[in-house]
Amino acid sequence: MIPLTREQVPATADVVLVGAGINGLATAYELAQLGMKNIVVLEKTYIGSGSTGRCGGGIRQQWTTEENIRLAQESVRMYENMSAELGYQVFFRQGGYLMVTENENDLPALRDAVALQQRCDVPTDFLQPQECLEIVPDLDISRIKGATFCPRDGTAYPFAVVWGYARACHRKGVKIYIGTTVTDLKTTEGRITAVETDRGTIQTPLVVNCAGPWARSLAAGIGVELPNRQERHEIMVSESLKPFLDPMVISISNGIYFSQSMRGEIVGGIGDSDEPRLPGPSRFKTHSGMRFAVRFAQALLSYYPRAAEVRMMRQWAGMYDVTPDHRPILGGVDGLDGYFHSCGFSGHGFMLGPMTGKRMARFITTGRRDEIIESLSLERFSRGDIQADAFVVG
Amino acid sequence: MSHPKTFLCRCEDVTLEEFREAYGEGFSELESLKRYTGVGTGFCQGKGCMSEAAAELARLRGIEPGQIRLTTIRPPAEPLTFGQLAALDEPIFHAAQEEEE
Amino acid sequence: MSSDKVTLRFQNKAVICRAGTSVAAALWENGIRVLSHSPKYGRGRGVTCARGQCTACLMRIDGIPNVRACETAVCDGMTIERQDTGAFYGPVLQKTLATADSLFPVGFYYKWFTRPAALSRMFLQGIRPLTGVGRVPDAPAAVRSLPEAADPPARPAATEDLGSVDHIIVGGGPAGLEAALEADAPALVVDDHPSPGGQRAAALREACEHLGSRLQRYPTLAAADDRIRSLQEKFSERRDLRYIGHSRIVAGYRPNGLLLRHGSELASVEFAMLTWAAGAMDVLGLFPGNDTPGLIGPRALYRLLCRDGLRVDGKPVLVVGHGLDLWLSAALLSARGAHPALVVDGPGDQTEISAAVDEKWQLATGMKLASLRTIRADRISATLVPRRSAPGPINSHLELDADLVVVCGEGKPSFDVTYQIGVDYELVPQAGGFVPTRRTESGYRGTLPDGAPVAIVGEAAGTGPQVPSEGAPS
Repeated sequence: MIPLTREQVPATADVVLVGAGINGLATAYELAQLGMKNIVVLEKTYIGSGSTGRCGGGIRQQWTTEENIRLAQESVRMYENMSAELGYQVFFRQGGYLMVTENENDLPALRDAVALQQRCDVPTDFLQPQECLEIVPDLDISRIKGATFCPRDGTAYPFAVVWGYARACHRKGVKIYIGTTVTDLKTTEGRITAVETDRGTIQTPLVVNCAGPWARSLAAGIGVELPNRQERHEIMVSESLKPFLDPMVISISNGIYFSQSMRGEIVGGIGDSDEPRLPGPSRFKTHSGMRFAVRFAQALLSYYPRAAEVRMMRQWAGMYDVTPDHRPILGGVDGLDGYFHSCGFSGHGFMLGPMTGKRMARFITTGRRDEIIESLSLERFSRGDIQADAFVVG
Repeated sequence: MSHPKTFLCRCEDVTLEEFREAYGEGFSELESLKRYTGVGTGFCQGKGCMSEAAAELARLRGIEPGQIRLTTIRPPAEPLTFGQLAALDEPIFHAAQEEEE
Repeated sequence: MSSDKVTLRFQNKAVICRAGTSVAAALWENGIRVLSHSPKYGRGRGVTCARGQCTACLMRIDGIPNVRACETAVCDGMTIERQDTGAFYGPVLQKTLATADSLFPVGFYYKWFTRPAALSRMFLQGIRPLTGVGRVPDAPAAVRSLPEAADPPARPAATEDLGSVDHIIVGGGPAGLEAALEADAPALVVDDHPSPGGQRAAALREACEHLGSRLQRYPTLAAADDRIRSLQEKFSERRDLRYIGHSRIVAGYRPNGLLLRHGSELASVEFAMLTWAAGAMDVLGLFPGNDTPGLIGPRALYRLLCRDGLRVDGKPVLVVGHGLDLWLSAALLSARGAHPALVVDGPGDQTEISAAVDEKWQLATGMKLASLRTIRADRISATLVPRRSAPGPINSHLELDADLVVVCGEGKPSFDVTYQIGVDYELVPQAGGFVPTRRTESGYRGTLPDGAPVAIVGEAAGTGPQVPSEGAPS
């Protein structure tokens, strides 16, 4: 039973998490696991209504920076045990990720990435175009110059993941309020004191900003300037068919990704460099475009012509909360006690959320130094320590 | 032969009883009910059942039907093949070929 | 073999049928009512909407999965297969589910086999091959499409110069034609019917001709037929109004884009003004057995009889409901030699009720449909009960057997495309479902978020008593 209350919020809480997407719920769950009480999660619409519920559900370990590889590796381990951990079937299936390129010039970088991933114990291999056919028999390899494949990458069903976390949170006494909008955060002398909502005010010493695309404006209210930008991304799902496609196919050349879900649907999207990066959620528009449908169909058929008679069922859009280096922003802010953020996942929040939730919870409850959180702090931008990953796709 | 089931959504095979059970599990708004039970996510794109599901939810919650928000309904209104879509005139999108190199 | 017959291969057996009909009608006439099995409970489903809007008739046709049998024209040598794939969790569990009502809670697939992790993985591996409905296409092939496949005009010049139009009217029924005639400017009307008039036009004409001099005793039918004929006539006189048949709007994109499907080809259309007159959909109701093959609505009946020429002569057909569609269905069925049994489920229609007695149609009033079940491959048993807690013996319910059950009532306004492009909708059950907010008695007039004017008229704006029904004299 998921307790989705619509009542007035309680007068006090030990910690308030803003946003019931994967980040807010995973962090709340881990905080409860560590023994924290009086945890409240606030969600302005419904569970998973933001970026989590709109994402493609992919989880990959193929990155070009060691930090990203380690993060994703930890997340994959968590996903492997998630159904058991939460007592909820999240349909995590490890069909692998086949990452292709149409450009000869990408090949050295792919080989370097494979070497780095292997050093991190990620079982990625470099494949010649012909070898891709062993993984996706009907792939059109005529333009593919090379590929990498990691069999342990996979996909999960985003809504099952957030529902599973919500149920597990409920069992641990976490209160989740849907239909509750945070209107303001209150501080006194450099400390968080309260969260104001349209259903009442909660006095709390701790706030975790997990608001995804809305994180920037929430933080701005208390003078924390996040460099995040909001970018619209579209995605679609096809009719449901018997399994014919095992891995997620992803192209670093044209930004398409597609896989087949446990329901049998092709789920996929394609990046669009024409999409503007918007400074703030007031422009949060998630309507669908014809341009996406056509571009996706053309790109899909260029790699998988057999899908010509397969039908697109639905397309939708969501927001990426993008940072300048496409890496999340974690941790707190100097001089503002009790405020934490976990945002800016740049389209990879679903794959990293379980792991960052765990680290954030440990960091919040113990204050113990965490080198990953440290390296992903907001300060990195003022330090100039920006390390972009080359494999940002979709 | 056939059993006395009342179907709210025929595409995804959701009975009225299941919809009520899902509500009982805490799914109290239409967007989550749609995704949890499958109501309206089938081949008919929700044409066949969204208004019935919404009316049932209003009854369950004891509120006026007018207070129930319609879920987002995504294009297309009928499933279209990738072949049909790809044939439309939009700029062909391929990898930046980097021919200059 | 004569040219008016074609041979299909259904489940690897030869089936001979009339040429020029739909796959769904052809199979029906051959006694094949179950076209698909439902994904979760594995229940047999038969043709339901006959307009490519539901899931019931999805079949694998010539190697293409999920093709709608109701919209596909038969042709010689066509291969038709049922997609009897097990459900998500396999045939054994599916069979249990189909016959057990409460063993399986909603969402059980999220709740079972989660622990330990190894079992969860085994569960996923085990069910993966069972998921999905239909296999990926063998190879790309052209699918023949209805309607009126016999003479689909090759893509008319009309759709070639689309792209942008000043005023598009979606729906060529009475509401759409009226909107076109009221407009003092050129307009383009699109509809999937080959000619202006809408889905009831042909049915009304045939029914009225059949009734002949008795027509005056069915004032609803006479008025509706007069109205459509007069609109058709005036429409044909206006040179600035264009009509494109065989076309359907299949998507709406903001700010003012539509995707039009003509046969199997798509065209994008940008409009300066939109009039949405796309009518309503059949509502079958919520009652036990409401997925029984053979249960259809009046709009499906008109398409099956008038478009596909479905043979119903000598067959018992139960028609339940009220209003224009009840009388039109009965008269049309009677014109085709079927034996209609009528159950009037509401008040009113007194003139028609007494006329029906004269027609010697089997008739009951004040009853409503309570449940349906299949008793033979081609026979349904319906249980009818008094509409309200009527006085009289408690067991005053009625059992009727029929080949086909037609449920007639207020339809459900079509709203998906207009909603997609930004019209606000609200739930008003007495108006048939979701209807535009701030509508008036003459429909809805407003502007889209980006400023294009939009009007929603006719049944698409609501089907309840607040909006005059299609059949009402204007």
